[in-house]
Amino acid sequence: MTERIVIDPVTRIEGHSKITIQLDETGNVADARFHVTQYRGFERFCVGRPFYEMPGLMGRICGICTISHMLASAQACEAIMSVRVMGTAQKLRKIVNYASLIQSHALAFFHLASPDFLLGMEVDPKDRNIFGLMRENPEIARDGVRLRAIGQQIIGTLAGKKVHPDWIVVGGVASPMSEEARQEIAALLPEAQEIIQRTLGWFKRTLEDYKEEVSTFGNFPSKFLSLVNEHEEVLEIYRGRLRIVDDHRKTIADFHRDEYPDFIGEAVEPWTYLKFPYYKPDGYPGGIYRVGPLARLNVIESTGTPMADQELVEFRSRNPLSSFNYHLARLIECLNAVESIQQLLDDPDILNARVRAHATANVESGIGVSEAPRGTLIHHYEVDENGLMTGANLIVSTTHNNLAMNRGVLQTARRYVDGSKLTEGMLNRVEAVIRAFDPCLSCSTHAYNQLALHVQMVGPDGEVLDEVKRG
Amino acid sequence: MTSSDRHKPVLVIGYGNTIRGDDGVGPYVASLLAERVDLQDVHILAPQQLTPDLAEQVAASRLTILIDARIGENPGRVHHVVIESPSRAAPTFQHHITPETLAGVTHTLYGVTPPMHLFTAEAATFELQDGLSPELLAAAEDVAGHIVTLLYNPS
Repeated sequence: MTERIVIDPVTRIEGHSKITIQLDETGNVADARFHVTQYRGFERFCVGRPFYEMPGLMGRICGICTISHMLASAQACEAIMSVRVMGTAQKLRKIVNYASLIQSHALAFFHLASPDFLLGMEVDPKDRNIFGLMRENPEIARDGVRLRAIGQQIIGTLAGKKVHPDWIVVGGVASPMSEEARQEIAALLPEAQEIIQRTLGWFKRTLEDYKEEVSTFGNFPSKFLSLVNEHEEVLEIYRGRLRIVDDHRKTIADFHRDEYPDFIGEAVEPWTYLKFPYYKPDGYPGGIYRVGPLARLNVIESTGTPMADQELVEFRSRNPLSSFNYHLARLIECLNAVESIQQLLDDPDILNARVRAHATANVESGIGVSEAPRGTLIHHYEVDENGLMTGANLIVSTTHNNLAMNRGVLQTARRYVDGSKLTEGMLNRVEAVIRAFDPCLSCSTHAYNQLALHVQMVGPDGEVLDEVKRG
Repeated sequence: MTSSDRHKPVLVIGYGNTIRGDDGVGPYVASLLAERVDLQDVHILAPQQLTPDLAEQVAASRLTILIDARIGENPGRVHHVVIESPSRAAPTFQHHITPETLAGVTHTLYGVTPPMHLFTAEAATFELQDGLSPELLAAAEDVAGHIVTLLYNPS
């Protein structure tokens, strides 16, 4: 006799998904799968459109990672034009990508993940949420709101609009930074830094209570992929080279973005719409790798900023393979982002008025890469002789992590799921391992009155044995 | 409403994904209103989704108006509700939050709850496409008219 427990959809992650846990005859977990049940067709949607429309269009894939999509898209278009973007424009783009990282990490850490840490995995989900967080520690909740607002404010100040700005354009940015904007952004940074350092202190103390979760939440050997600076072993969130390291942080591949098809394959499975990228030399599914904050800190030797580097030294003493440490990595990246924005604002070149290059399509394909909050983001476009899109391939951050998320769900389910009962604590731990990756399945609609959570336990004959619905 | 509240702006948030068919009705209504109301007194936002940080701006408003698409069987039908008790807010959320949760976050963190109106229009399609269906284009005009009335002739 076999049974299936279905958690559908996962709460507090973006988009539509479910988790299926396959039990064997003795009630033990035999397999676990993370399904993405909503199809997205952006690659087809863009065919026939002029390539220069892509940054604006691709930015709408996601309301959270808009900036990172626009940057990868703009780079792919600039490769098609064969133009070099001015240095000042590159720096301005970095500032908005750092700000995007801050707002996204703030949302993931404070509002999605921290209720689990602060309130405990066994607490009723009616209380284990942002309201429970606000009741138990309103300062942390307010910090989360404020830090995300600061990230959004920086984007709005520089790019004109907080969501879907049209300031990132093919060839650079639409307008230079004013001295007034520079001062406005600089004035926000001390508060952001204070919030992040306060949170780091609290969270590192809290981690002492979650040693078991650290050892069981997606704790397995894998490779790690991220961008690194062209000339140093430093964290890079825009352009740079792609690097893959093994589970001992030894570099096994270092390549230009144009070479990604030589190193990254993409497999598909009939039970999910999410592709399974893998490291080609290891084959599928053996070529498992992770991207995102944990991967970035495992790939680099330095964050490039002093305070974040101090945290990196301490981070190195922790388990680099546990996906639970994504949460700490997010906070360290926020600190690095604040420091990096300050460095860029202090650059005398930042107010330079020459911020855009112009050209038309000169080659038939282009590849762009940026580091989105959730990891490496690849846009690969093909165009015809008139510059109209003939094809596109996107490997988004959450997709890179697909194999790892499935591995993490299986590992956690084997540790915590008891087939004889459906407790909130065990279901939430399975969900929480997914939340550690902070997947953004986006492209979903967010219409009013959609169901938030549907949990089913299904018997071998399809009979629903147990069911939980959350509004 | 206190005398100090009268000096606060009205906040209008029309949210949704503009390349997911009728999901874009919120931003579309926001764009209509931007041409029809006094922007010195009304702040208009058009995000893809509601997020907790919006609580700061809601708390600083004297009236908040939300516009969204909704699932339904009668495309174009408009619903208008006043978000009442923050205690009815949804207990869980994804990267986006519900209007009730936004009201709850605002009340809990900032101790204020400005009147919050929610206009929703039943969608014909959420498929990947630019622009609204004819039913939702008409509904958007309807919603914009209701909101202008609410702003300038509240009685």
